[in-house]
Amino acid sequence: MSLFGRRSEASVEEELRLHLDRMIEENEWRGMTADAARADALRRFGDMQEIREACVNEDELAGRRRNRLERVLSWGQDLKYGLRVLRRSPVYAIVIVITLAFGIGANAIVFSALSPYFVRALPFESPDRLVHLFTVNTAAGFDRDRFSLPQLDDLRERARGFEALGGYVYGARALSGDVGAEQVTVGRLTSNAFDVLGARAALGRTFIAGESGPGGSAVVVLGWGLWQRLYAGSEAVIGGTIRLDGQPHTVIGVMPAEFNFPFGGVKLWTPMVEEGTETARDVRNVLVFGRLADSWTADAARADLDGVWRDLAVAHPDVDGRLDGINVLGMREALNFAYDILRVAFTALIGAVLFVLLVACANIVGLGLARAVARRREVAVRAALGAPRFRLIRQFLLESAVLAVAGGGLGLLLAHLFMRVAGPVFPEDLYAIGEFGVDGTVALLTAGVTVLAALLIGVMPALTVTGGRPGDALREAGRGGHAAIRSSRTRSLLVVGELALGLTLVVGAGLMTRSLSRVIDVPLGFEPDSLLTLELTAPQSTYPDAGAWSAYWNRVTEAVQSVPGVTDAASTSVLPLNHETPQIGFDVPGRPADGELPIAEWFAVSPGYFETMRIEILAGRDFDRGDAADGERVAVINRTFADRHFAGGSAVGLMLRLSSGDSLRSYRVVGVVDDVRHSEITAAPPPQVYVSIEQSNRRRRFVVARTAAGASAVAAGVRDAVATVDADVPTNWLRPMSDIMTESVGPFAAMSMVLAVFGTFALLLAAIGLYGLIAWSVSQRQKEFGVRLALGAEPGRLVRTVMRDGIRLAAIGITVGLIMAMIGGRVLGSLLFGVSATDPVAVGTAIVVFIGSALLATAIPAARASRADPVSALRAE
Amino acid sequence: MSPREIGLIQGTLDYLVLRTLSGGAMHGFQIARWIQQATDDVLRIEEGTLYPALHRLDRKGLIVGEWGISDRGRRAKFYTLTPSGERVLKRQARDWGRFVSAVDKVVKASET
Repeated sequence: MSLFGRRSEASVEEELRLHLDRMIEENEWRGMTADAARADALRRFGDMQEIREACVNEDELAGRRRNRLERVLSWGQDLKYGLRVLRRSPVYAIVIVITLAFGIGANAIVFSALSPYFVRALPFESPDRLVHLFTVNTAAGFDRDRFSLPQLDDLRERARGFEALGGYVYGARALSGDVGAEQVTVGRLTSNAFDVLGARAALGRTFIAGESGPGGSAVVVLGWGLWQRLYAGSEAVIGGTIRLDGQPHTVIGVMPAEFNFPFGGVKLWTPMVEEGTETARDVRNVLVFGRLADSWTADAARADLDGVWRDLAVAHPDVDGRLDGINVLGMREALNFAYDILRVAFTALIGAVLFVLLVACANIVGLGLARAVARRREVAVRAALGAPRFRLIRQFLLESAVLAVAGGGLGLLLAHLFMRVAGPVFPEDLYAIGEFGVDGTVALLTAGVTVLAALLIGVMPALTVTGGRPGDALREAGRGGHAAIRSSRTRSLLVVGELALGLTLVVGAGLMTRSLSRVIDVPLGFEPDSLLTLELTAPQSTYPDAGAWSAYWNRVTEAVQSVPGVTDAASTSVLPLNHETPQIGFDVPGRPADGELPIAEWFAVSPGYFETMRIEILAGRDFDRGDAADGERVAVINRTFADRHFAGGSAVGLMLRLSSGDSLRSYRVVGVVDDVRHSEITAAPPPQVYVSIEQSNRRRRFVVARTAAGASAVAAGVRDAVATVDADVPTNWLRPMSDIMTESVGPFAAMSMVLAVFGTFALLLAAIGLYGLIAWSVSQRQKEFGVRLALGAEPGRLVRTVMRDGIRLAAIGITVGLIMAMIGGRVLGSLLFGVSATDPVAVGTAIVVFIGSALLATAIPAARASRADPVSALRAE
Repeated sequence: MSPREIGLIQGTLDYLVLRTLSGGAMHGFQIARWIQQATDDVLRIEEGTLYPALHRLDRKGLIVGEWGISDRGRRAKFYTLTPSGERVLKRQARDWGRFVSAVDKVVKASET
């Protein structure tokens, strides 16, 4: 039986005995003998045992109820007490809340940035049942290649793992209508694509069967953003007409705001009505996706596709047989072409923000321990008054929880404001769901981090302070003693940890900064400064054939060239580093006849392009007016091409063949130019081949203009000059080449900046932590130092003693940090460029910075040791 | 006649105890005697029922028992009404009045 039960029983016993005694008295007073009086009372009382049990039972029930109530009330009391304690030291509370707000806010910002890429549900029905299909071409190094329409038809017929398969392509179109001309990216979809996605129109309808394919309809579904922008959300747009490349299209629907396919840059959708050669089996330009059939997994569907593909390879050896099968990917991963790199980046970022939070918490624990030692007396008094240990611990945890919740709330607010005001703008062609910002998932993750922070900052001081016997604490009373020594050991450990975490971040920041500078220093093969670029598409309606386009382009180039401040101008099919790199199979004399054709990057450029871009001509000549449509087909190759395939002699004058549909066409090599970093700034260029743009039909081109006055200074003049040629052709993407460069360099710049901010914050906190610890230990030892000085100790020696303690901590912290940085560098791995994870400059700089900070953080309080006054130190007793 | 036998046992006993305590603090023996005297010995409270009832009312928070010293200088547990006990008493007084008059009507009706 419980203690409480025994106490209750005794109480009931006494109560009943009183009653019994009074009855006996009454009976005696009526004249009964003592024995008879007692017997009568007992008889009337009944079963004493039963009554007692009934009463005790009630008491126990009451006791339990009271305990529950007290438990609830005591939480409130402790909370009130905690708030009072914090109010008494507002500076301490504010410092902690702000530190936590930054630590937790950094986490919330990273969560907010990753949520659109990795967390939010795709805006389709049951998106986890959707998969993307790709052909694999191992020889060319592609595992995300496209299908041709006949291949898609075969898959639809034979593959069993899918409820339905849809296809799409996308490309630029000139949009014109009542609302002016502009260039838009249009998604061209098979008529079932919306149904496969399970996406319904917000207004009007999507495509119906038969609207795509031969004899399809000229209809269009608008994206929400475009509809809002051009038609101010008017419902009257349904049934209206817009022109795409001059062709009228009837608007049949508007998609909801959250719909996004295949990426944010695509603003409207038309049915895929085959154009020109699109129905040929070897024109593989269709992207294919599908919805898995019930009870089929992606793996099962892939296995089934393998069999289907083997049959197709036998049936079509020259097309399907040259490919290496089909790759099946989840929709989220497939639509986001930067999925891999984003995953690495966010892994590194989450690691970094967690480190920042850990450092912040370690710092707070350091502060809290110093304060907790001071609070030992208060705690001891409460313990002596009967507060059980768990309640004292709970008291500390509640205080931490209050601080953490305040810090977490403030952090979430900071993240929200940051995302609203200074939020990063990510390229539209990265598949993201919705805007960056705080959403439910972000709030939930942040709450989790807040709980973690509350535990981190609360548990250790609570255990440290409430441990040991209260009597000791009362005797020691503020003088330090065991608890102080133990807490100083804990604090030393914390400072070591902070230094190690901070160093890891700073090394990471250093590695990213070094990568950034390496990227910037990469020889591009062309000169990006003072270069202006713009994109134009000659509309089919005005310029029906190659001759007309050609004339148009010549006039545009001349007009741009005549703008004051422009020194050279030329045109090209694609711009370097602009996320577009066409490739082509080629053949050179002496290559073994069997096997897949080697692949080269492939550009069509006008005369003067190399000069304008400052691409060095190493041998031979530039294209000229003679390389026209009716002239001999000519090509210019890059240095890598020449070295790899024409080794041991000049390539100029030799022949090569480029694939064109089923056949190969011969080109005479007229020149060799330097390598250009075209597809990726971080990868060495593969073989590249340039053909004359006059010999390659190009309705859409980029104009490049070398300027003397700076790219942005002449932008308006260039736009006007282009408009004088044909005002109805929209000028698209008028921007300096340096903007395009920024996109390539962006990820390095962003990562190095973010890590630098986090690293600095961690360094600062670690230095403060070290300073705080040394200052505190000096203040604890004032008396000792005073006595030693009085006994003739050299002040310099005392300073050195204290410094030695600090430097030893710093050395341990830095050593541990170096080991962690080696591991951290591996996480960054694929994000690094041109530096190893152990780059001596990055690591060395971080070490120097940390040693310097540690010396400073130690020297200031150490100097105080030499000024200890023995008299006042003793008097303070 | 014992309260157990009139079929209103618990409710009635609780009501009587609360009514009794509305006059001030009393210990168990005093409560039993007071009820007996006030009803001219018609109702005699059985001890075996009284004490569990007191502890039950205590648990419900209607009365509260506290140890004190009796008029004869002996430790005794005195019960007093709590505010919520007073509220319950008021409500029961009303209900009891209605109950009695209803029963009275039935009884009178069957007499005529």
